[in-house]
Amino acid sequence: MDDPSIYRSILEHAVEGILITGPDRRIEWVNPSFARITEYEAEDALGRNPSFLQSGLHEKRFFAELWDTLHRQDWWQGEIWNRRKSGDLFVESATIRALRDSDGRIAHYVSIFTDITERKVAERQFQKDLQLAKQIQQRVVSAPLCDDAIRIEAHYANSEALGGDMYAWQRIGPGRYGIFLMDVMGHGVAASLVSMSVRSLLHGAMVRLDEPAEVLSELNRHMRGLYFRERDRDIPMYFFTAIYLIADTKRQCIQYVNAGHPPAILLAPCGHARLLGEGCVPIGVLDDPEIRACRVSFEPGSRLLLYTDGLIEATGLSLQDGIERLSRMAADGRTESNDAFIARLAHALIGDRPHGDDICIISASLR
Amino acid sequence: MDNRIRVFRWQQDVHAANADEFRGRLAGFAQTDAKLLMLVLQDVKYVNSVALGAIASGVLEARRSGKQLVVAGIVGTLREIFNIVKFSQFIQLFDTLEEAEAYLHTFVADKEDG
Repeated sequence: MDDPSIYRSILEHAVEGILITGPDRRIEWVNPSFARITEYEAEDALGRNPSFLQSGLHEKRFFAELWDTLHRQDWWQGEIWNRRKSGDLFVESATIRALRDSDGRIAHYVSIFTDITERKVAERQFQKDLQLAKQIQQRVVSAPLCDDAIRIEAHYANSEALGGDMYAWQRIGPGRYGIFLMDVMGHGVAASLVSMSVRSLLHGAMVRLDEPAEVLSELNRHMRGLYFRERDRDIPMYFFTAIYLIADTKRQCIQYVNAGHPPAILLAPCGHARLLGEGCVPIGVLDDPEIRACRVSFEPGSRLLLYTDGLIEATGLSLQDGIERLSRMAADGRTESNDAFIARLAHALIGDRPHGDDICIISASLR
Repeated sequence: MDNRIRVFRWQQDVHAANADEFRGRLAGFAQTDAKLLMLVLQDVKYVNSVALGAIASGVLEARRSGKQLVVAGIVGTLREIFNIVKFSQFIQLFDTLEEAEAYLHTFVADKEDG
C-alpha cells in the first residue's frame, strides 16, 4: 500500500463527493462524484471558495459555528443545504477535516459528502404524514357530552410518537351511555391504523349491541380478522387493551368489561373509590376469549375516571402505587367539575414534561 | 433443572429499544424441539406491551405445536403488569422456577397417564 496511486484511485472512484482546498479555502481538487452531485465540472470549481455552492438557506451563524468547530477540533460533521449548478437545492451529509502540516499549520481542508436529498425529502414527507395522522386520530374522538343525566369530558395528551389511544362515548338509549377507551400495543402507523379501524366499527356496535361483552366480542372478531401473523411471522401480534362500560343513569348501575386495561375508578360522593378491573385478556390476543361483564351500582353524584397507562407511567410509580395515587387524587377532587378535575390531574401528572406514550383521561360525572 | 425442560432466561427490562430483540429471541425459543419450555423473567421489573404480545404469541405458538411454555419469576411490579392484562387466564405464570418446574412435571405425568 505504499503506492500513492492506490489512494488517488480510491478518492477518484469514491461514491461520496470529495473536495480538497488549500489553507486559503480555495478548491484544489475534486473527484468525479463531486461533479455528479453538484453538476459543476472540476474546471468550474478549481480555484474557487466552496461558498459558491451555498444555498442561502443557512444563516451566517451556521457557518461561523462550522469554522469555529473545525478550527477547535480539526473536524466538523453535519448537514448542509447547497445548490447545484442548475439551481436545484440539495442537502449533503458532510464531514470536513482540517489537515495540519508538521508545524501544526492547516495545510488542507478535506470535505467528504453524500447527497441525502431524497432521504431528507422522504423523511419530511413521512413526518408530515405522521402529523396528519395524529391530527385525524385526535379529531375522531368524541366531543364533550352534557345533559341532565351525565357529563363526560376528556383530555388527550399526545406524545411525539403516533399511538393507538382512542376514546368514544355516546348515548345509546334513554338514560344509557356507552363509554369506551382503548390503547393499542406499541406505537406507530400500525397502532394508529388498528385504532382507526376499531373506531370505524365502534359506534355501530355500541348502538346495535346491548351488552358490553357483545361489543368487545365483536371487536375481538374484528381484531382476529386483521390478524395476518400466521402468514408472516415477522409481524408482531397486535392487540389492544380497553374498557367499555354502559352507565345506566335510570337504574343507577354500570355494566362494564375491562379487557386488560388499567382499572377505571368509580368514585362515590363520599370519596370511596372502587376499581373497575374485572374482565378478560386484551382484545385480539385469543380467538375466543371468555368475555363477561361485571355490574356495579352507583349513587347520584358519583364520578367515573378512565385513563390509559401513560397516566400511570407519568406518576413515576409502579402500577399498583400509581393507581392508588390516582384514586386518592380522584377522592380529593370529588367536588370539582370535570374540567377542573381533569386539568388538575393533567397538570399534576403530565405538566409540560415530555412523555413517551399518549395519555387519555376521561371523567364522567353521573348525576 | 430437569433436562427435558428448555429454559430461556431474559434479564433486562423490555422497552422500546430492545422489544424487537426480545420478540425475535422468544419466537425462536418457542420453536425449539423441546416440548417443555420455561421463560424466566425473575430479574425483570418491567415489560412493555410489545413484550406482552410476544409472550402471548410465544405461548400460543408453542401450544399449537403441542408444547407447553410457562413463565416463571413473575413477582413484584412484573406481577402487577400481568395481573392488569389478565394473562393468567391463558398462561401459566409462576413466582418461582421451582413452582414452574413442578407444574411442568405434572404436565408430563398427565400426558403419560392420559
